[in-house]
Amino acid sequence: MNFRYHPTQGARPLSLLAVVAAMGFLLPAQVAAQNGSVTGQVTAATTGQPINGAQVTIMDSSLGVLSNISGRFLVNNVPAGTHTVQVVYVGYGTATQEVVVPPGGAATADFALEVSAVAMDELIVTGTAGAVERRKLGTSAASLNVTDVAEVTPLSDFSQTLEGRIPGVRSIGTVGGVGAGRELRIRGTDSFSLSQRPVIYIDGVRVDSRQREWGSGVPGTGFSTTCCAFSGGAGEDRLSDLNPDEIDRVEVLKGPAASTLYGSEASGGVIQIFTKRGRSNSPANFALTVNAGFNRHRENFPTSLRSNFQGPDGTYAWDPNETLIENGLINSYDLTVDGGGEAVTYFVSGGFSFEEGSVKPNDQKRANLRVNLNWTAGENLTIAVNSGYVRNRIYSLQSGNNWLGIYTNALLTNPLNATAEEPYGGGLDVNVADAQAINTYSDADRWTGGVTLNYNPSPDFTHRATIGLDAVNDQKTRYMPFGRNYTYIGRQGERNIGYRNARQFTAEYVGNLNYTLPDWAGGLAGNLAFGSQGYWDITSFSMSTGRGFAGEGVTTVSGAALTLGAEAFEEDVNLGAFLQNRFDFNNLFITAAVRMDGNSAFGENYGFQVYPKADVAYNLSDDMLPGLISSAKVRGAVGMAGKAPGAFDQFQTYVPNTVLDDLAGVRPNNPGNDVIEPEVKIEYEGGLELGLWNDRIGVDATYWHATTQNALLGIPLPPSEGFSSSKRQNAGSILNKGIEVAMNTTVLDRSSFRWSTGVNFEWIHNEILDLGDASFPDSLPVYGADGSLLRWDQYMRLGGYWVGLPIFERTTRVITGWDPATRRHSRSAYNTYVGNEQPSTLASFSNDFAIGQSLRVAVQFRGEWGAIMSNSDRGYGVRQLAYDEYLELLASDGSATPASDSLLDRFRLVYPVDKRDHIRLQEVSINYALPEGLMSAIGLGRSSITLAGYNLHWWDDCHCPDPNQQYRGGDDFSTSPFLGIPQPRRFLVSFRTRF
Amino acid sequence: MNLSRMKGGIAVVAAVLALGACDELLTVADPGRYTAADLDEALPAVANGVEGAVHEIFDSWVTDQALLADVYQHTGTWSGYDDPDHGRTNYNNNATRFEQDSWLRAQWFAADAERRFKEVLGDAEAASSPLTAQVRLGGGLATMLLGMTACESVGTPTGELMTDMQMLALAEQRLGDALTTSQSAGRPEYAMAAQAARAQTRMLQGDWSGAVADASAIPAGFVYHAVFNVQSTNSVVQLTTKNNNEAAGLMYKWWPMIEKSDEPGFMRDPLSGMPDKRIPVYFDGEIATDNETPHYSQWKYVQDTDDIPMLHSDGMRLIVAEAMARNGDFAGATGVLNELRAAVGLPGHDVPTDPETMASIVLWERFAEHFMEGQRLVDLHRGGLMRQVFDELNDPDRLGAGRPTKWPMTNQEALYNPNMNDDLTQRCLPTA
Repeated sequence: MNFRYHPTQGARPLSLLAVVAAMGFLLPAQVAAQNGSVTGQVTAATTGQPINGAQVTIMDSSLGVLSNISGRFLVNNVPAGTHTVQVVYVGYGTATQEVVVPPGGAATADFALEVSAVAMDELIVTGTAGAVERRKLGTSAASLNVTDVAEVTPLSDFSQTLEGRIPGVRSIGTVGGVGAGRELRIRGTDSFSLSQRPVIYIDGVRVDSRQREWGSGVPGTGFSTTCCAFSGGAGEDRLSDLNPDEIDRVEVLKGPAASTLYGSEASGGVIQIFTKRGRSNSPANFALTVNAGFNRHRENFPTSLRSNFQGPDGTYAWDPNETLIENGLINSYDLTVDGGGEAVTYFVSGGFSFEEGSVKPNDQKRANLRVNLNWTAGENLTIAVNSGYVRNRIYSLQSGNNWLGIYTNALLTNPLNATAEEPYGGGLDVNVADAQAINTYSDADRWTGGVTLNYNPSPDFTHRATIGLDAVNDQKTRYMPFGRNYTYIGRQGERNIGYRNARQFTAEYVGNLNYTLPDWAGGLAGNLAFGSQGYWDITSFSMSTGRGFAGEGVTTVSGAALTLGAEAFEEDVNLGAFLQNRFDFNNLFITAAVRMDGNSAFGENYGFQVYPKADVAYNLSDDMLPGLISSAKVRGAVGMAGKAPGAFDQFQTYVPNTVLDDLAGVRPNNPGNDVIEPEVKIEYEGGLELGLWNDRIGVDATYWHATTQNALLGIPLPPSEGFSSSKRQNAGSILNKGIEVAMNTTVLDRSSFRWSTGVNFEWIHNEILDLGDASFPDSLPVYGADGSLLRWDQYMRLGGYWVGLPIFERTTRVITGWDPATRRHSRSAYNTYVGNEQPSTLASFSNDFAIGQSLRVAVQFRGEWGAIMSNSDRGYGVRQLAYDEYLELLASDGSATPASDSLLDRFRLVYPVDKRDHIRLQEVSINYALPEGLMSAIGLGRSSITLAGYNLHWWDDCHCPDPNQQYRGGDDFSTSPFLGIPQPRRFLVSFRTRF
Repeated sequence: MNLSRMKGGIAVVAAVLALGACDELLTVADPGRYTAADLDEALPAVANGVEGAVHEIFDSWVTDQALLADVYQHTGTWSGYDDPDHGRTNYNNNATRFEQDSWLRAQWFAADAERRFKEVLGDAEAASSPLTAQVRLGGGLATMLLGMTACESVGTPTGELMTDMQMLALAEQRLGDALTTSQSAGRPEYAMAAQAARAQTRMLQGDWSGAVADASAIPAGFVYHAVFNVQSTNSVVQLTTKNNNEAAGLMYKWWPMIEKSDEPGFMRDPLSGMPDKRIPVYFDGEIATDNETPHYSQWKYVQDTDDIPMLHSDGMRLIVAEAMARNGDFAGATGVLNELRAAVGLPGHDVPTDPETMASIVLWERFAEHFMEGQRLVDLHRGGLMRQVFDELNDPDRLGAGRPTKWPMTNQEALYNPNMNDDLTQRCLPTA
């Protein structure tokens, strides 16, 4: 059978040329005659519970299915004869059985799986060019079975799914608004300026994963809105578009050692999301999940003394803990159906969620629809079609470093100024009620879809081709009503509209050839993989502002007296090809690969970039292991991946601007660099994966060491040379290294009680190694606790970076003395280094208790240590005479005291530095499986109710509401807590049922 | 190897070849930017860009000058204003670095624009082109402002260090060139601006006869503004003015001369007690954004598109009056100053009999005429008055002794100009 390939209308041919070339040569395969089937059930050995989603494979063939909700499976078209059936499921040991399939008949194989903390037979797909068992991998690729997690813990946000679950992946909430940006970063910070978010793929299609879509205006145009983006800095996170209920599992490549095959975008790691799919020969399985609950901030805003003070008209000041914090309702409904026949399987999901923030107005309405189809078009050909649509409408919270922020104007107030009109005390001159009257929306339509063809003329020669598109249309709007006071726009009102349209096209072809060398060549088995991959990103921005309405009633930009607009455009094209070979020497697996990339952002005179890699995995045989150790794998890998420069960094440009009396002008902008290269990161890692006590304890430990070379730095030019932007040059070098340890065990496994626990630990070190020729020697003073100058440490410096210090170094002036005569502090004349703003140590501790057949309790703690913050929030709050720390020093009549004056003087000179160290009770879930008899009586299958709480409590010494607070959300290079509203606590009741 | 495998291998080769042929696919362009070649077709925009680069940062300079002088105090939440208000400025903490950087770039862009005009128009046409006049004016103004702001700077790309007096001398020369070119190009508005600016540079160098000669040539009613528009707004309004951010307000020493009112008003003239219309202010009792300090707002600029006078005929009259005073012609000086006062309805000063009184009258009249134009700090510096003015406040937070009277040069130039020592402590910073 031959088939034709039709590229999607409008897509660039990119590597489709290669795909077409490859696929055109594929040959039809012979259809076998006398086939039978294999059927059976997969259960847990100790509890007898059916296992849903276990991977059942007929060895030495490409046949395989997943077990259904009852643990049952059916594999058709199995050639008659003797076969080995293998069952793999994470958390349980791999089991195999030999069956004899009669011609035209069925063989039965039931499996009772034993608990195991080691998963050497788990298949990893991402970054390996084909599905590979974990035992053959020389890298530390991680995977997470989201379906399993969701069985116990209701998930509402993709990033939350990763929180504390994979060592090396830092996924935390940083701001309190629903839908707002979150921090997601893998293995530290590896660039001075390029995105730190890992590249994210959904079912092989590269997707938009920005944590902030724009900052203060249209990028690069100088056109900005009134202040700090429409909603105050954090922006909306495009990962909040994803519905976790659609996700089956996630694979994470943590760095170049594993992600080389992704080339010029992968040095920060790769996350691949696999959505759920239907199962063949399965009737329609419906699943309904209903969540209800609320968000509520912890009442720890530093304003609890506020209500003791009266303003000039006798009004007692409001305490935001009492008046601003509300219950933010949460409701969500997800209905899925999956199933399939012999040739076609399907998964269809529809979901709607509504969620309010705890400080209002702030809410998110999200509707998701997904259809995944798999068609076995022939014996050797399958076609997978994935289509996901989301409408994500967020009523954004005005917050952060923002004159219009609700939290800002409620907290930064002097209670002695409270009046009946402004009971908080006036804030930054915007009444809280006026701030709450602003309508700020982000309204995104998004479609992500792709087609994947798998053509396997034989089990040893396979082809996979994927094309896909992620299209995001996001409209942001803000309306400040006429008649209310918004500082410098006055009472005239303003309307802002911004559009961001992003298209990311992906095309990929991968061929895999399993071979055995002739005897004269050693008879060695191996795998050769080859392919090409390309993406094409186009993003356009536009924004308009209308300021000055004649009155109420008109809310459009064009209805305003003054209208302004701007637009911008970005385009980035990448083409790559790769070749990989793996040799299998019994228990030893050696892989070597190379990828070559061209990218439109590389300098015109640069050319292509080559990324090599190699890894080795050695599985120790039983006779080499002491009794305690049941399995062991030693692995090592070295690899290189890159990160392309900004789309237009290479060009020397002049920017248009409006000057004089609205005349067209230009000014020098970017000096350009026609030999600009990608940043390259070389990573090596070594690891040990152990199974102890018959694989009841699994330990996975990795040491990794990564050096970013040719890191892009903005080399400041002397202003007398004219150009306003710094020159982007490949000049820097950054070191990241760390240790990751994951330990999982089932402490107890009885039919009536099971206790599984897991500890993840991560230590990371970040250091700038080199800042290039433009750096210069400079010194930082070191002060003692009494403010005395101890010494000067010399570093090489460029801009705000110092060789030998971390990227997130914090330098600041410090208090050096106190003069009791003048009652004034003195501060150092120079900044001194006070610490790293990113944590060096992270850990999580998870427990899962199964009590009887019906009750499960999951608890997760996580902690971070080693980070500090320049606590601008605290300093600001005191300087504004607003926070408890200041108020508690005032006299009973509200007048200043020497102590309050001293504190004020201190924080007017410097911002305090506080530790971000903390331990957090991240999740508690109590899941109760409802009696099956009762459920079946009303026509329902397995059902459960879950009570869950998130972000419940934290223990810290940060003098702040939340040590993870960052006002710019998940911004890559800003960790400032400044007026970033903290994450709320979250409480949910979840009902899940199947029918 | 069977046929399928062979074909697979061919596919790989095809993929690699396809990749190699994809150079065209890897070419992108930014439709939002001009290239250097594009500018040859956009010469007026180049000239506007040079002049605009001088204007668009002038508002920030006015505020910073007011904070380091005794005009403004910080009333907001930002250390960037708190430091200059309290005289805390050094090489790491220089509020005017953005202004200096912008004017240094304007110098380069002016020279580059002249080169471009010659290339595109030819030497002869360029020499008398209004475009050349415009960029020479822009370049000269940038040099003048650098000389007025910092105690040292550079006059050419990555040039050698020059003192403020050398910068002013260079500005005088450039403004002279601008004057000549403007006259030959038939652009009197540029010519007057160049001549008024040259008067100022001559005054600041102590060349009073040259200054008077230029100042006297400027007709009454002349004003050259730093022009703002809806895209490039006046930050004096946005950041320091009532109903806006109110991050700075008039210094408390002036408060007794300002009435509380629900309507905008004027500071009282210390001589007559009458409202001085040259100093529009507004105080209605409102507390500033630091939640503590009453906000006394300037009211000279109200809309964020309001322009700021950089040079004007009244300023030229002040130069003439000061030159007379320095020559001992107190009657003549007082006469000129009283004409300016009469124009706003204020009674005249009596002719003083001693130089100190004469100097204080000149200083006050310059404060009033140049209110919120950035000149007060220049006057305190050149008059050696900073210490006296701040000592009179007897304010432990604002000591006169050691208070800088000019700004250090921008550290970006100092650090990245290969002709300059990286050791920033070697840069000058005059203090009281």
